[in-house]
Amino acid sequence: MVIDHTESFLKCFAELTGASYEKMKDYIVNNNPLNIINHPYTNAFERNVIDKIQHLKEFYASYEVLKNAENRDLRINSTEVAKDYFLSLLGNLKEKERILISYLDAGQKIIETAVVSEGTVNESAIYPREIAKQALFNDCMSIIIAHNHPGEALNASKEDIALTQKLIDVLAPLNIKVLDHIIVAGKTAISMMEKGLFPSHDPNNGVRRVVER
Amino acid sequence: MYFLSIEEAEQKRMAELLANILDLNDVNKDVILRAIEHKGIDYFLENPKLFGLSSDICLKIGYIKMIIETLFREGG
Repeated sequence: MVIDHTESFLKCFAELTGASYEKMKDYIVNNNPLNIINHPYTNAFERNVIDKIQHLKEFYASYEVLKNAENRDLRINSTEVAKDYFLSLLGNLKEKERILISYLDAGQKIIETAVVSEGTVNESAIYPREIAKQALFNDCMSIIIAHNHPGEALNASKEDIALTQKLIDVLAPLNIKVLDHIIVAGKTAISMMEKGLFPSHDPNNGVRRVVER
Repeated sequence: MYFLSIEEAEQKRMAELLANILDLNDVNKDVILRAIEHKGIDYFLENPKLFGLSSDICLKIGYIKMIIETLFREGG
């Protein structure tokens, strides 16, 4: 890939991060200039330079998320759309776990997507009654949960299934459906519904019943 | 547990990251967070001088804008 104005790009980059301009110029003779950002270790920069490049990369990821979040008319009408949507919001988040909930209207259009927790998925991080309050406030018909695994493990943990079960049980009496729980790991995502790990509503709110396909 | 919109969460994160990239103090970090919250990231990157930041910081924000635009254009 050839970048227009490569020269000024490299100069800005060098001024900002302290990376050696000459080293980068040599590097791009045979390599894609964007690799300097995407794979900073290949250039053997100093530690503080690499840190700045990583921050810049994360800053760009946030910028992309903001741009994607501007797309408010999105309709989540399939698992693939849901996976793509949450990948765009969580795919670049490597340093921490973030839990999102999208509140959907009757046509499965997103009313709001909110960050409900950052940290780990466990009972102390998520209060289903607060989610229920927010769901009623948004006047939604259904929700989709999503979170990322910073360690890039592409599987649903017991805690992920338990959280989903709890939300299903709390929201079912309000006629609000939990449609899916998407787990994002790096550049891929899985749907618990698609994987057959999605729990069914337990009216007794006791024994978990995981539907195994 | 808290409820933040995606926009709010990312704006907060961007201000933190900018502070790290530009070695800013807490006061300037707060200025950036408020600027992004009130005017949006594109406006802030386009007009950093309007928010009372020093010319050195504004110059570096210009570099960031250029890099971000390049990445966005090139699909980085």
